[in-house]
Amino acid sequence: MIILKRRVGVNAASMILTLILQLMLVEGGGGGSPSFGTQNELRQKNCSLVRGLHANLIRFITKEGFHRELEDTVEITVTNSPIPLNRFTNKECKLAMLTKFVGDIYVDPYEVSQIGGLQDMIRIQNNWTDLESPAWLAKSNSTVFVQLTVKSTGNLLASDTIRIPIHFRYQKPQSHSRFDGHPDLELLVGNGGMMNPAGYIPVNVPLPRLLLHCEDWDYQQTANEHCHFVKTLCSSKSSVDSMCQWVALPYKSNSKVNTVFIPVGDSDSQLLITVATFLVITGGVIFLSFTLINAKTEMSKRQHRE
Amino acid sequence: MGALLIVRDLCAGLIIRLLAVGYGLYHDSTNEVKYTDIDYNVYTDAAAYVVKGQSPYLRETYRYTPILAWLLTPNITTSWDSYGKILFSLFDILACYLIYLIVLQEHGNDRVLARKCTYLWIFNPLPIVICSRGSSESIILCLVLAVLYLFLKKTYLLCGLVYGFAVHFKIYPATYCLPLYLCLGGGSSTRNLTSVKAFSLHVLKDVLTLTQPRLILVLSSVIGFTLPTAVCYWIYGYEFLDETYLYHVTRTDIRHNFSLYFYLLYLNTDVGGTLGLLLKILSFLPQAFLILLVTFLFTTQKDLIFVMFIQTYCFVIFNKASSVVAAGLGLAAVGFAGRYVLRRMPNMAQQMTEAMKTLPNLDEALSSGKYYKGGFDPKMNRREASLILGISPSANKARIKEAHKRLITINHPDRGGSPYIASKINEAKDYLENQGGGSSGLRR
Repeated sequence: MIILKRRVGVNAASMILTLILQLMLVEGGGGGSPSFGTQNELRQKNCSLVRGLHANLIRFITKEGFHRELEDTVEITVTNSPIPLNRFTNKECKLAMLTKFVGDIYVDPYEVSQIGGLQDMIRIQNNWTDLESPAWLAKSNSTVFVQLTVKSTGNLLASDTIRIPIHFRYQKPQSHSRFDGHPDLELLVGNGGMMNPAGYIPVNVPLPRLLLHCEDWDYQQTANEHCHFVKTLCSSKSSVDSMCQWVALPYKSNSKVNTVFIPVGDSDSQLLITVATFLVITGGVIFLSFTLINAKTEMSKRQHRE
Repeated sequence: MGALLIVRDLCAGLIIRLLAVGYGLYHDSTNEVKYTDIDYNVYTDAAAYVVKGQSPYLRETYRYTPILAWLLTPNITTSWDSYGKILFSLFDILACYLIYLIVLQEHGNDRVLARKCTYLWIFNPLPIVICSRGSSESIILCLVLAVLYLFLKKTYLLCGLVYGFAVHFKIYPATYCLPLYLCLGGGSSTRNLTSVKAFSLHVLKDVLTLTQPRLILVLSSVIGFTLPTAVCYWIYGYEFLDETYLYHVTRTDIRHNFSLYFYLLYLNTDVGGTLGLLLKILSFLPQAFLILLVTFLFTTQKDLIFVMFIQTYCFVIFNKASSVVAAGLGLAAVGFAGRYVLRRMPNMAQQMTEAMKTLPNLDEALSSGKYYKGGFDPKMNRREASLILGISPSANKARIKEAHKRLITINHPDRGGSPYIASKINEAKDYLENQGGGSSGLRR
C-alpha cells in the first residue's frame, strides 16, 4: 500500500515508486518474475494467426490491504486480420485469459463460485489452493482460466470487464530497519512517501496470457504455424479431458507496474514480542492461579467454620 | 401455566432469530462485507460434495465431523440456503430450553427464576447474531448443556452417551472429562489446603476411586464417542481423523490475529530446534495448566457448572486460534470478575437468585389465574411479602395496614383459617413495615 499525499504530482509519485522498487530489488525482497511468457511468445512475429490483432489489456488493481480485486478489460483493434470480425461475435473464435498466480497470491475458488456473473466464465484449474498457508509455505499455485465475452464496435473488439478477487498471503517477517542509512531513504520518507517503506514488501501481480482459439483450427494446420501455443481447457465449462490448442495473443498493457505493497511483520521486534508475550501469558497464568487458590482457601475456611 | 410461558418466550426467541436470518439475506444482497459467516459457506460447500456422493473433506478448511455436512444437505437439495441458519437457530432455542431445565433442576422448580435466566440467552444479541450468521456453535452448545442437565438428573448412562457424541462433534469438550469424572467421587468434603501434599494425596486417591456412576459414565462416554467416530472413519477413512481431530492439535496457521499468540507465532515462524519446541509448549501449557488447576481445586465442591465455565474461559483466552476480539481484555476481565465472584462464592448463588427475583415480573400483567409453584421462601423477603399481601413492594404504610386487615379477617384461625397462613400474613406485614417507610414498626 502506498501512502501518497495528494499534493505530490504524478511524476513525483512515480519517481518515488521507482525508487522504492529499486530499494526493494537491491535488497532482494520478494517479488518474482512476471509469468508473462517468453520474449518469443510475446512477439509472435512469425505467427500468421495473430496478424492484425492489436490487443490491449486495461487493468486496475482496486481495494486495499490483503484482499484486492483485479479489474481487467481486453480491447482488440482488428486491422487486416485473417480472421473476420464476425467470427468473434458469433463465438466461433474465442478469447480467454490464463493467469498463473505464484505463491504470494491466491484466488479462492469457493469465493469465485459465489459471485454471480463471474462463476460462469471462470475456472480455477488447480484442485487445491492451500487457503491458509503463508507465502513461504504455500504449496499450491492458483491457475485461473477466464473465458471472455466480446462485443464489437466498428473494428474494435471489447470484452466485458472482469473483476476477480485476489488474496495476498502473509509474507515472511522482514527487518523494518533494513533500509536504514540508505541514501534514498530520506528522500522517500520526506517527500510524503511511505511512513516506513521497510514495513512493506512488494508483491508482483502476474499479467495473464491472452489466448485465442477458433473452432475450425485443427491440430495439423496449427502445427505448421510458427506460433506459440498453449494447451489448456476449451472453455470454462469443458471437461479437463478435452484440451484445446490456444494461440498466445501478444498484447500491450496499461499497467506498467503490477506491484502491490503488502505490510509485513517486523523481525527486529522478534525478541521483544517473544519476551513480552511470554511475560503477559505467565503473568496472566500466575494471577489466575493465585485467584483460584485464594478462593479455594477461603471457601475451605468458611466450610470449617460452618 | 408456567410451562406455557416458557414456550411463549422460546417462540419469541425463535421469531427474533428468524428475523435476524431474514435481515442477513437483505444485508448480504446489499453489502460488500457479508453477514453470513464464512464457515457457513464452508459447511454448505461440504454438503454439496456430500450430495454428489463425495467426501466433505474435498472442501478446503472443512474441519468438522461429516455429520454436520450431512445435516446441511437440505441447503443444496432444496436450494434454500437459509435452511442451515434456521436449523442452528432452532438448536439455539433448544439451548435456551436446556438452560431453563438446568435452572429448574438446580433451584427447586422455581419457574419464574428459570425463565428469567433463559432471558439471558434468548434475548442476548450475541448468540442471536452467532446462530443467525450460520455458525454451528449452537449445536455443540446444546450437546454440552444436555450433558450438564443429564448429569444433574443423575442419568449417567445417557449423559455419557451425549458427552461422547459432543466430543465426536467437536473435540474441545474433551477438557470437561475430568470434572465430570471427579464430580462423581464419593470423597469426603472436609478439605484443608494447609498442606499441599495432603491435598494432592487426597486428589490422587479420589481419582483412583472407581465408583459405579463413574464406571457407567466412562463406558457410555467411550461408546458415545467411538460409535459415530467409527462410522465416519469407515466411510471417509484417515482423512476424517486428520481433518477433524489431528489438525486441531498440530495446527500451524498463523493468521488468527485476534489470538494472544498471533504476533509471537508469526515472527517466530521459522524458529526450529529447541527454541521452536519451547514455543510450541508455551502456546499449549498455560491452557492445560489452568484447566487442570481449576478442575482439581473445585470439583471437590461439586460445582460442576462453575468448573466447566472457568475451564472454557481459560481455554478460550489462551487459545492459538481464538476469535475472541479482545483476548487480553478478556484475560483481565475474567481475572477480576473471577476474584470478585469467588470471594463471594458461598453467597453467590443466593444473591443471584435474589437479584433475579427482584427483576420486574413481565408476566403478571399478561397472565391471570396462575399460581406460584413451590412453597414459601426459607426467609421472608420483600417480593414474597408483597405477593402475600397482594400489594406493590413500595406501597405505603396505610396500604400495608389495609391489605393486612382485609386478609387477616378472612384467614383468621378463629374463623377457620389456617394458623400457618395467618402467621405468614403477619410476618409479611411486619417485614414490609420494617423495611419500607423508614419508620420502625414494632416486631411482634
